[in-house]
Amino acid sequence: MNRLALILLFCACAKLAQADTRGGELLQPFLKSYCVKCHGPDKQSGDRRFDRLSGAENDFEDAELLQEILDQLNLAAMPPEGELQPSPAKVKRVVGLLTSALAKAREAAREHAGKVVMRRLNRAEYRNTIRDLFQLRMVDFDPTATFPADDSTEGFDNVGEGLVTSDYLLRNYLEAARKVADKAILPGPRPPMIRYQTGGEAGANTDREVLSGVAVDKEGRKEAGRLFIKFRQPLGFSRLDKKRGVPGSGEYVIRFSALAVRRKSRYKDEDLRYNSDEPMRLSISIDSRELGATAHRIIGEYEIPDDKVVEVEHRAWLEKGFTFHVHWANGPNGSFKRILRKVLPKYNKDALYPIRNPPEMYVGSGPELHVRTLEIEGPFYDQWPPAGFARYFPNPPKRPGERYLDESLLRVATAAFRRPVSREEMEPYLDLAKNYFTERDDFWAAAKYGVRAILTSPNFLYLAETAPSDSRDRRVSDHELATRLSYFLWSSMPDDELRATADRGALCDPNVMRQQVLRMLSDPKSSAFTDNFTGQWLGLRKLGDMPPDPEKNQAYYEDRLEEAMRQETRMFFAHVLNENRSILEFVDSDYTFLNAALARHYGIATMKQEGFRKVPLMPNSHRGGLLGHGSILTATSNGVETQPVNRGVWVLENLLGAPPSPPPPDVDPIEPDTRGVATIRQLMEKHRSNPTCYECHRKIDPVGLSLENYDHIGAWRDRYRKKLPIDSTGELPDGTKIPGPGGIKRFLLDRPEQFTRCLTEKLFVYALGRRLSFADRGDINQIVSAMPGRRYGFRELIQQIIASEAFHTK
Amino acid sequence: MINTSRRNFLRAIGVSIALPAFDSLHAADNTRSSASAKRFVCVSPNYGMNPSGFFPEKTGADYETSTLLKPLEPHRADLTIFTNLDHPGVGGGHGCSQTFLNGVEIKDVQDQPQRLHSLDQLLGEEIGQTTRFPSLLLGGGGVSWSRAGIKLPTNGDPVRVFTKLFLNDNPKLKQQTRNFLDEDASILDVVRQDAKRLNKRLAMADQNKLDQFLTAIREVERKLKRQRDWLEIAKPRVSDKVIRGGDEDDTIVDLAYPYNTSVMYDLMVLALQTNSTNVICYGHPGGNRLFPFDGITSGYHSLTHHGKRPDLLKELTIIETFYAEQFSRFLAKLKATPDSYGQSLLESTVVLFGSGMGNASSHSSRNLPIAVAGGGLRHGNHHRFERHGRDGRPLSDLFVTILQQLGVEQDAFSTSVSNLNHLLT
Repeated sequence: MNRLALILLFCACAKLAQADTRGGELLQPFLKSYCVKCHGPDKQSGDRRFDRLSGAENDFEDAELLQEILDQLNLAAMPPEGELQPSPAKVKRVVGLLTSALAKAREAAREHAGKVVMRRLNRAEYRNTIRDLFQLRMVDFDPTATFPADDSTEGFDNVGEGLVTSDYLLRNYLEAARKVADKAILPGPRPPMIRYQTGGEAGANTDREVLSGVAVDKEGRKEAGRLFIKFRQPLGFSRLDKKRGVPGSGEYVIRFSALAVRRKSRYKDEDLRYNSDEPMRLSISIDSRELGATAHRIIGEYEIPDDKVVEVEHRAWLEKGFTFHVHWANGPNGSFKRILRKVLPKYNKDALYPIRNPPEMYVGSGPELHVRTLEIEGPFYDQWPPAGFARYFPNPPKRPGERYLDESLLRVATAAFRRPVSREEMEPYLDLAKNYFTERDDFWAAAKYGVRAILTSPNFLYLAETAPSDSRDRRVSDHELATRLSYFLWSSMPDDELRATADRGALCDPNVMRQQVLRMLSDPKSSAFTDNFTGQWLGLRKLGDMPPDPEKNQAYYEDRLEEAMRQETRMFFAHVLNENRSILEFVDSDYTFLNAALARHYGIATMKQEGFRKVPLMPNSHRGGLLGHGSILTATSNGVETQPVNRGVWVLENLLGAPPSPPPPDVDPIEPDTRGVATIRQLMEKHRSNPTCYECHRKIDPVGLSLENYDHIGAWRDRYRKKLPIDSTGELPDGTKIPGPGGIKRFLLDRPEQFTRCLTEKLFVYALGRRLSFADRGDINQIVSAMPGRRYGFRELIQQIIASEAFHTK
Repeated sequence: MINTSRRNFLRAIGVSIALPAFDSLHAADNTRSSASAKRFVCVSPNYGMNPSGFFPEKTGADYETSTLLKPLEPHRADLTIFTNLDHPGVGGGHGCSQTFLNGVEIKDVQDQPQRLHSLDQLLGEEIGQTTRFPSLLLGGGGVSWSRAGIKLPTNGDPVRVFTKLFLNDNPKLKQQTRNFLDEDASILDVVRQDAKRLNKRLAMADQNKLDQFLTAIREVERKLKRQRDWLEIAKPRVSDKVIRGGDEDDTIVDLAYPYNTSVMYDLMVLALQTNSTNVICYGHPGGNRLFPFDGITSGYHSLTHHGKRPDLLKELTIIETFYAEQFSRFLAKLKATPDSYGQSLLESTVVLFGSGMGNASSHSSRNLPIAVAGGGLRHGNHHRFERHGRDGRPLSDLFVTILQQLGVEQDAFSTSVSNLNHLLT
């Protein structure tokens, strides 16, 4: 948006004014009578000032302000209650004038504005791009682990304007590039296979292995395979532990056979700190000595039947240097020492005398998880050299030379820069690698060096679109379009098919585009859209920032409710997306996704299976739509109590699209005095008694308070803990009564356009990676009005956004 | 070059140090030698200190000891308390904590991000160039902003801090680092050419964005060179007792926050004593953690919104008293520790305690809790300034005095209108 557009806006206003002789004096006196008192020279409520909205000298922000005035008038939100009100006819005339003038200004803005904002890859995008560029497994390899967090703008961390590049980050890029090059450039022969095993029939060629962390009783030593786990200590191959893990990244097969012995024993559960009612479970964990505690992860858990040997084969990708252990996941908790000193004497006085060998007394009498055999074999590869290496370095000659180096690096750059590159522009990179090659006479070190430089290039790190050469043709190129599309739906680079489509120049064909969008949404990589978009639109990333107190919320931790809640919302969102269901189901739905623990938490009739499934909801279940999701209700609380203001702001921002202004900077904050209040409602009423606070809080508080029946972790409650009744009724500024938690849903369902607009705007910001500009309003209006005709289908909404003019132009 | 008696002296106090032998560094050192103080430490609790417990009523030298100042009573003669200092343009809300050392909010300076440059980082440029680390940012929260307007990360892990300060890499790793630094420098050369080329093809708005990248390249090049120089100088040798606990008394050092606070303070003393750095910021993080102290039943953040309720205030006081006690212990340790010239560290270090948040209960940025200690300034008083409308005296006036005390000839900083030399020097 530039000044020219603004001038056009005022010309448009002036023209309208000429057409309607009374209209010439319409806007200024209107603002003066009804707005300037609070938004003028003396006072700038919400940081807005309208008395200087005239003449061509203003900057473009004025157009945005006029748009805001129009929005407020349309919502009948301004002037506020208790202030002088314009007559409905007057409002109608001003609304008409502003609407048509702004539409004209938008046209002008679209034609003249340069609004490309170059975007740096954010952390998730960088990670995904590396994954796809070299076809790497990124589960236990994360070169972005030390990157600083990305700042959000307009609620999203993929908005170019807010993504700064500091020298700190650049150093991280240099280091990450080094790690990636080491991981991806694998010119050597296939790493040798290892096979460690113990117990059972050991083959002639296999390494008999001494186990670490195992108790072997005297009897057991004679009898092969009587290895068992007493408690929760890890059991693994000391040889792997000593050798610093597996020799190469690849797929490994972990096999074990095990049985549960004396699940119920003479010892009481509370003495052993153990639950004998559960079947025994054996878990497999992986660790890396180099990466330390952060790398520790459980990769599998198996139930072990009583007195019957079960054989398990678990396939897992292990990064070089990782080792694995098996554990008795629900075994007796605590040390063997404690059992010997504190527990055993209760059952057998002899245990007080060390000479009688208490360990021997315990072994063979308590519950035990016997591991008969344990084996690891690998690494296995689908192909060698790996595909992500071979595509850039195909059939390397015995003594590769400079030409092969150039060609290979050009292949890498073409993919990494997401567009064709010329040899000429790549010359500095090629020279860098060639000089290194000449100096050190080490081809592969030089190749890695070249790749490192490419991964530090701004052409890789930024989604940069070239300035249009002709101001009348602002269409993005095919490759730029493919890049926009793949970072929107995948948070990653285009894949081969999308790239080929762009290479052919076919992406500008709307039908081809629609097909590609459908294909991409069906690809597993689209989970990045679900994760990143819901994480930010719905604030799910905040879930876990203020965790509830473990003492007082035991079920929350034992049942892993936090992860279950996140999963519910993710699956719900993905379902609406994949089935092209109406986006209004986000407001209210007659189903959700639950596992047994979450169903219990919600007080919904018991579920038998452990896993997640779609569950139909009764009308009085209080769980339909996003507002019934524990994830959102917990993320907007502080772990101890609910925060109705947070919840109110959340609804206004994310469902209604009408964020309240932040507290005004120009008033002294009132120090709240809340002595002697009992409920949160009284507390908030006390705050609101101040007129400065009242103006915004009358919008926020009723919405937040209507959700008070959900506690700080989203469980339903009818009374507060101290037996005080919950009052969840309220009234919105426009007089709409909210009779409890369903009220706000009703309010939204009665205004489908408002929710649709809100979601569309959020998606627009996310899709384009930039702030919305005034010129985008036309596209958004068009999409919002098209949605009822398309039954509010979510996929349709995404197709519409991708088909919009804004998505195709710079 | 190295003064042998100085080295012997250091050995005598149990710390062995290799001093940099660059002429340039010494030259830089000499220019500052006339300054009254040489070091700067800032300690900042994210949610400030509850005003009713912090500020004394009476002013002057015989001010009464408030609840939260009680632990600091032994340092009365080395301490100055201020009432009604704040940053004029800064509004309320959680963001105000981050404005402590720069006096401006990010939303107000979007087009001039360099105005976010914080006091400690400016000092890092001015008095931090002769040490291995221009500044050390520790703890949580974070109040430091680079010259380019980027908020800098902090390190709250004592083991990582110790490693960074005192552990030398083995020769193999050192050689590898040497190679990487040289290689990275050449990569940056190429990338810069590429960025300049790209710049020509971009629209205006995007060129600004790429400028940021070019600035980052220059900064990294400067730092690579610095690191390359320091790589050849051994780090000071210090016993790891501070993080591992003593052998003889079998003490276990708790490295988890908040119990690691004393460990962090000890590391800070060691860092100053060994001339590893001249500038340190240490933050107590916010958040809603449940402090593991007797009597605490609610999360920290919830407690700061106490609304004057006595039960909540009592719990908050437990936490803030802990801050004050730990800070007091730190001052005592600085006083007892001599620097390389034999002067007490407290005498040569300006210590600033405070927060960008005044009254957390209302998220206010007014009347910030501020205390200054050491650094050869005139102490012992409680000063109260007039309020004009919503503003008190600009806190940046104090910063100007601190800058001058540290030998930085500058008579303005951020939103300062003057200085506080008449009260402190």
